Amino acid sequence: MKETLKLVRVRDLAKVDAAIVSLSAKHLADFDTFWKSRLQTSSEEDRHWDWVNKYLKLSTPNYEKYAVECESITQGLMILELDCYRSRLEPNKSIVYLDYLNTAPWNRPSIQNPPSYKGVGTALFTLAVKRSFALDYKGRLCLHALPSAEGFYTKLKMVDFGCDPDKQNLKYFELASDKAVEIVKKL
Amino acid sequence: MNKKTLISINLSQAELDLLAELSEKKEMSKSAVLRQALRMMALIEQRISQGEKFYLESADKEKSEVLLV
Repeated sequence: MKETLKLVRVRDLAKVDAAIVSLSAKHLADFDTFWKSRLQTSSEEDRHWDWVNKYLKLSTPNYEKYAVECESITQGLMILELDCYRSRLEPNKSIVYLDYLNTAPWNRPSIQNPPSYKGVGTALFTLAVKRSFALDYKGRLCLHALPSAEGFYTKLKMVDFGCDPDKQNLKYFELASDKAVEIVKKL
Repeated sequence: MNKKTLISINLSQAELDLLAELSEKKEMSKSAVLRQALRMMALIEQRISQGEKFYLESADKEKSEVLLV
């Protein structure tokens, strides 16, 4: 799988080629080599996430794993769950669950300001919506957001269902089909 | 992305009716329903082969194990 896109390189505002591909050993190696130490010494809420462990643990066919590559380095990672969730907005309808989404530490203004590239998180989120359409889920997408990411998902017009006691009290968000259509139309 | 291959399958009338019912209920194409069913079956098979058990939980939280052959 390979989907090409453009990211904005912040230092010169150039639009540079990038691609979303299936997550592989190369991306996990990048995580271990370039991401991990910078995240672990930060105060980011996801600093303890171990992508190697997630990759090995979430190996059943209901998971899809993706990476964003740009200038030969992994810029973002994402895991989707396809089958085990049901929509709250449209009860009993299938929905894609965005399990994990990370951008590289150098793409986060909270760690490096200005960041290296812009658009990684949006590109991965948009791919998740497109996968929902491809699965015939009509763009429905849900997730539990870390507090620092709540604003990002609110801007994408996801519905905020409030804190979920079954998921570490993280807020549960859901993207309705009509909003998903708007996101894909913008492409 | 995710290139697909066209195949033909034989279904009994009852199986075809069930597929149509699920397709209508979930507002998904018959192909999408079958693809989801395959993934779910593979998920359950894989987890059970790792020694895990498959349970269903009733509305009053009573669990019953599903035995698969």
